[in-house]
Order: sequence, then C-alpha cells, then structure tokens
Amino acid sequence: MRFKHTTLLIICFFLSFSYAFSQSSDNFHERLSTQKEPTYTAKDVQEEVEFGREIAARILGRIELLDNKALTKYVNLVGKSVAIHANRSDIDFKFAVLDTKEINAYSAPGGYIFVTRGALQLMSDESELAAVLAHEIAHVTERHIVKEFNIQAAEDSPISSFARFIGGGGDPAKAFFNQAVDKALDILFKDGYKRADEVEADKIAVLLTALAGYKGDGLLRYLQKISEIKGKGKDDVGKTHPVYEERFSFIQNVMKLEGVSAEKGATNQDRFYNVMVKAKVLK
Amino acid sequence: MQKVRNVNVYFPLKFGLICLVLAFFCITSVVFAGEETLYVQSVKAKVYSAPSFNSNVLMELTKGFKVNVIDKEGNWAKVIIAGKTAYLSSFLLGKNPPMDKVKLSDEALSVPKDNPRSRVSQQTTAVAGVRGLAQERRARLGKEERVNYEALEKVESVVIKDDELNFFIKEGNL
Repeated sequence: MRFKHTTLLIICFFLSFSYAFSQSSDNFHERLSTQKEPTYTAKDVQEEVEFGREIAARILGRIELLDNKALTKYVNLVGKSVAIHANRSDIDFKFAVLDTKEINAYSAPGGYIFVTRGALQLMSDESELAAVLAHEIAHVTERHIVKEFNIQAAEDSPISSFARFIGGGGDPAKAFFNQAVDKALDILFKDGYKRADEVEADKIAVLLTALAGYKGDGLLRYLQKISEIKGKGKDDVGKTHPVYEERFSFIQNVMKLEGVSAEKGATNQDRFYNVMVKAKVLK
Repeated sequence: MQKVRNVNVYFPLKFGLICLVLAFFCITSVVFAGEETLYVQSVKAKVYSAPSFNSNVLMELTKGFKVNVIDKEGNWAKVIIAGKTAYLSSFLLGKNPPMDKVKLSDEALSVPKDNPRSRVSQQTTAVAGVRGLAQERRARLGKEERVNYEALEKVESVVIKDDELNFFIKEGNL
C-alpha cells in the first residue's frame, strides 16, 4: 500500500509540474507571437520604396531641399548610426534637410527621412537629432503610412496586398497609386498619423536612441523645447502629433520600464554645433 | 515474510524507472515548448547583461544571427549565448531570416540628362511611364502637385561608406 501511495504521489507531482510548465510555455509562446512577423517579399518592399519615392519627390516639391553637402552627410551619418539598430535592414535609409523655418520632420515609406532647418535650429545636440530621426525611422519600419490603407486580400498581409495593388496593371491600380500618394501627403502635412502610431514611434525612438548609444532623453528634451515655444512654430508639430503632456508622460514611462538612462550615453554637442555653424544653420 | 521481502527488492527499481520516464517527459516538454528560434533583423544588435539599457553591453550580434529565446521579460528576449544568460531587445528579433537590402531597378531610377527645369517634368513622365501612366492622366487622377525629382536625386546620391560610418560611431563614443 505504501508503495502504491508513494508512486501515485510521484506521478501526481510530475504531472502537475509538466502541466504547469506547459501552461507557462504556452503563455511564453503567446507572448512571443506578438513578435513582428514579416509577411512580405522583396517585391513588396520594392513597391513600398517606389511608393515612398514618389511621396519624397512631392515633399521636395513642396519644401525646398537645403543643398549643403557637409550638412547632408552629417545628418546621414547620425541617421544611419541609428538606423543600423532598426529592425528593417532591408531598407536603405536616406536623410536630408528641408530649407524651411518650420519645426518638423517627415518620413516616406521606403526610408526617405527629412528634418527641417527650423527643427535643427531648436536642437541642442546630436542626441536630440538622433531621437527625431529615430522617431521618423520608426514610422518607416512599422509601415504606418502603408497600414493606413488597410487593404488585405485573402491569405495576404496588408503590406503584401497594398504592394500588389499599387504594383498591379490597369487603370484601377494607377488611380489607386495616385490616390494613395495624395492620402500619404495629407497624413504628413494635414491630418497626422493615428495616435497609436505616434505613440509607437515615440517608444521605438527612445529604444533606438539608446541602442545607438545616445543619451536616452533626447526626444523628451526636444519636445519640451517645442512645447515651450509660443505661436506658430509649436502649431507646426502640434497639428500632426498628440498633445505634449501625454507624450512626455509616455516617454518617461518607456524610459523607466526599459532602463533607458537620461544620464548615460553620448550627446556629441560639439560635433553637432560645429556642423550646424559651418552650414549656417546656427550662428 | 517472503511476500514483504519481494516488495522491498522491487520498490527502488520501479521507483527509479518511473522517475526516469517522468523526468524524460518533463525535460522534453521543457526543450520543445520553452524555446523559440528567432533571427536578428537589424544590422547590429547589442546584447545586454540584464533586461535594461542601463546594464552592460556584453557583445554585439549582426544581421541574421540565430538566437534561441528561452523567455521574454517585458520587451526583452532572454537568450543564452556562449553559455551565458543575456538579453536582447525583442524589437530587433523576427521569426524569419532578414531580407537583403532592397534596391530599385535602374528603370525606376532613370533620369533624363538635360536642363534641370525640364528634367523635373521629364522625370515625372519617366516614372509614370514605368507604371504606364501618361503625365496628363496622372495629373487628372491625383491632386495638382509639384514634384521635384532633381532634389530627390541629390538626396539619393549621398553615399556613406561602412568605414566612414564606423569611424563616425567610434569618434562619437556611440
């Protein structure tokens, strides 16, 4: 009898352990399944880049390019230092400065990132520039504009469906391509991204800035400066982004949760200042 | 008396056998249910000693590196690399190997070589041509919009070499 009881007890113990572990493993898989799953092909990405290229050309049609080689190279170096840590190594990110006093930054699908002269003039160091570029990189990596169209054919991801649609032949596809470009420009210049997309871009920007080795509070410091501006400059960003207080609180929470330091990391203030003075962005 | 002695002889053997079978069952469930293979999607991926950016950077992995994730803590993937427990931002990992960098075809990037002013409009037509779109139809379908391909070409012409970027990163203590 004693033997039977002991055996039964051992079996119960192992079965309970196995059950408990398998349950926790299921949860583990469930948690991991939130991982971004790329369900697109190289052809999809090509369509995405071509679509973004058209948007970029129209951004440059609206706002003049600041054509300064040293400045453009510097912004590219900062941007690429951040972009190498982003989860989309299939994209060749391009960075440029727009010659306007408006304080803003823009991104087009396929990796075209623009920051305005006005935004650069407001920045104090390289970590702030890195953070602003990281926010725009996040809009590209998460395909926020493409997802806005919410097209999904059976057994396709929204991205693949979108790419197939704009890359297809016939008048409907051509008309859709133009309408999609128009809508993208409305998002960038008038309506803004969805609130959830902006929040996601802020979060990824904080992570990317930290991964790149910059001081982690660059985005927070930059946004705090904008919020202190009175008048039109503040409205430039405010009209397409969530209210500042919410963003500050969210960014601070992300920093706390992820262990991002406001003390640790590079700012490279001198390097930033030297380039800006030479390019006559700062006096 | 004989019967009691028999039970004592077989008890350790049966006990051991049952333990072995159940232990094997538990271990296999741990191995097959508790790990997931993911791939580094970014060009570089820093590996930390704890799930925090404030912790030490142990090493740097490169694009396509395969890791076995044994657990997830917040936005951090717990991995074992070179026998050590380490953490990667799960933002950098994906279930499929990363794709190569995508480049547009020469046809999509073609630019007529003439004066800058007509170059803008001709490039618009050239890209429209790739899609089978006549410029006038394009204008009718979309909003009236100025398109500057000349400036775009300048943006696309900037090339940053790997050693230049590495020097910039090193110089800036990044």
